[in-house]
Amino acid sequence: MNKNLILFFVFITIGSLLCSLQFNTNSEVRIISTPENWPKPVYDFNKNPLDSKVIELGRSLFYDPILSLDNSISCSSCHLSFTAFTHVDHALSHGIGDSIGTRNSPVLINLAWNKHFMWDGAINHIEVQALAPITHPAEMGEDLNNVIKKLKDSKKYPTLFFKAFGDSTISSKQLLMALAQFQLTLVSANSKYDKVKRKEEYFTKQEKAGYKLFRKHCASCHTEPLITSGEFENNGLPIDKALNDLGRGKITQIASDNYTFKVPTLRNIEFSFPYMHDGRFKSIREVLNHYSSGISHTPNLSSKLENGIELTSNQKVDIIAFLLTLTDKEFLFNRAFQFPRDNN
Amino acid sequence: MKWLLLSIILIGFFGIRAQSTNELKIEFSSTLPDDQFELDVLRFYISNVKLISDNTIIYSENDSYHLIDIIEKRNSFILTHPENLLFDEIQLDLGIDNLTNVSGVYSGDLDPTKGMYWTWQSGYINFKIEGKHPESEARNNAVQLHLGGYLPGQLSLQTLNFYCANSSQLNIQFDINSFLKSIDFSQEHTIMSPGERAVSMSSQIASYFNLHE
Repeated sequence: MNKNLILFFVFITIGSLLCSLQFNTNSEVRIISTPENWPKPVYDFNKNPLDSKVIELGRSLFYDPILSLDNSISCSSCHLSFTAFTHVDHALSHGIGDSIGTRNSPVLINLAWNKHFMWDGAINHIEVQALAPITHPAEMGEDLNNVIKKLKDSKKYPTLFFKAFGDSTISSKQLLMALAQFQLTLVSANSKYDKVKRKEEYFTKQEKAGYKLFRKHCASCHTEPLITSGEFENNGLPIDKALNDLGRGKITQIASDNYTFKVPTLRNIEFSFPYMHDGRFKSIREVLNHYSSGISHTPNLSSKLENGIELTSNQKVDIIAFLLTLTDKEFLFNRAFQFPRDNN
Repeated sequence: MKWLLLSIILIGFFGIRAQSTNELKIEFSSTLPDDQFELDVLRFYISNVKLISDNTIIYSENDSYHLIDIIEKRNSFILTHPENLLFDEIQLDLGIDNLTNVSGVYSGDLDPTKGMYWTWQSGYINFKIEGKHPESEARNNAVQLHLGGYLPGQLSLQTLNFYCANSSQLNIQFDINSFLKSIDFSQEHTIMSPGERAVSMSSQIASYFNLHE
């Protein structure tokens, strides 16, 4: 009996050692490459090549509430790895002191291919994106200079910055580069959809029917392979009078951009609910019902949606079956994207 | 002996080459605002500095970005240009160009901690003036003009050109007093985002920069 118990522990120890070895190898191969048949990334990797030490620093920062005013909110508070890096079950995301924002936190997927950031494209480059949530009063509400000061005074960051950049002075450029580099590694390209495209797997009959419908009705905005055009569209949501969110129009101040929002990627849509810029729909079914019978003719409605999308309820089921093939479990449960236990 | 001579010639040649640059100090100042206006912040970017001769650009400064802060007296920079450069005109941008605005994060004078970068929307603040004026209807009579914008229709960058004699120092003065007199502070006391008002205010401000002889 005792012998068995000892044997059991020996197995457990060997097993966990093997596991940790496995994860270490994983974290060494995180420098991303462009998946086959994808467009070239928008981000210029030649100018700023990824570096595993910088990525590791960025990962620590991403999970650290030190970036917020009262040290309560980290990036991961609203961007959870298991839910495609969005704030699951929250229509509008909230920040420090229970303040509620005006938008649903977007997914962080394949950001190296993003031309614009945020629902309204207010941010033009991933390296300056983090400035917005860090300083927004309803998000992290912190002052950039104070963040730098807190990082300098901390025990672990001078060392981590030194490892990453060869100096421990800690500048805002280094902070922002590290956060950008970690987020650039969040590539999702291993869903069933991708495997079918690579001829490694096959769609079921229903998924295939759904894919055909998707290509016909959805893919002009949710273009393959990123499943987004990255452009701004008004998809006919009735205007929420309390928020009266002009979207892109607020940024460009061009009337024809009013009520348009960035087309989101549908990759990992199974886990990124609720949907839309204000998180008004809880399920994919509600989203499809909106497109088939809920289109509101507000200013600048996308010309593709003038007459809505005619879909029977069987067709909706088929489309959902296809959309679920966009789930990438390797992405969602990738330990390299999760809370960095080694640094804490 | 031959080698020694050659060495001396070479050293002499490179020695002269190494020294064959000239320095031009460009200093910014401001007139004194009248007593009514309490000035707290006067800060702006100067970029893309070029020396011109006979309408031809003969020298462009590399990495040409300078944050000028009149109140904090960080108000000058030195341009190092090749010797024997005869220029009769200088060109400077008041603000930061479009390409820099969309190219990610920078350090130095362009570091976002300098308070000249918008955080909620990407882009540099080209020109910032803050203070108090009794006619301002904002809280505490505050005046806050944060001028910037690079998108089409929001471009607030201004190019300044001054004819000047070839010299080693230029003083450029912002006539804040005349500028303040031209503003109706009951109407225009707060601009905090890009747009039409920022564009028109920027071009107005540019007209109050003069070469101070």
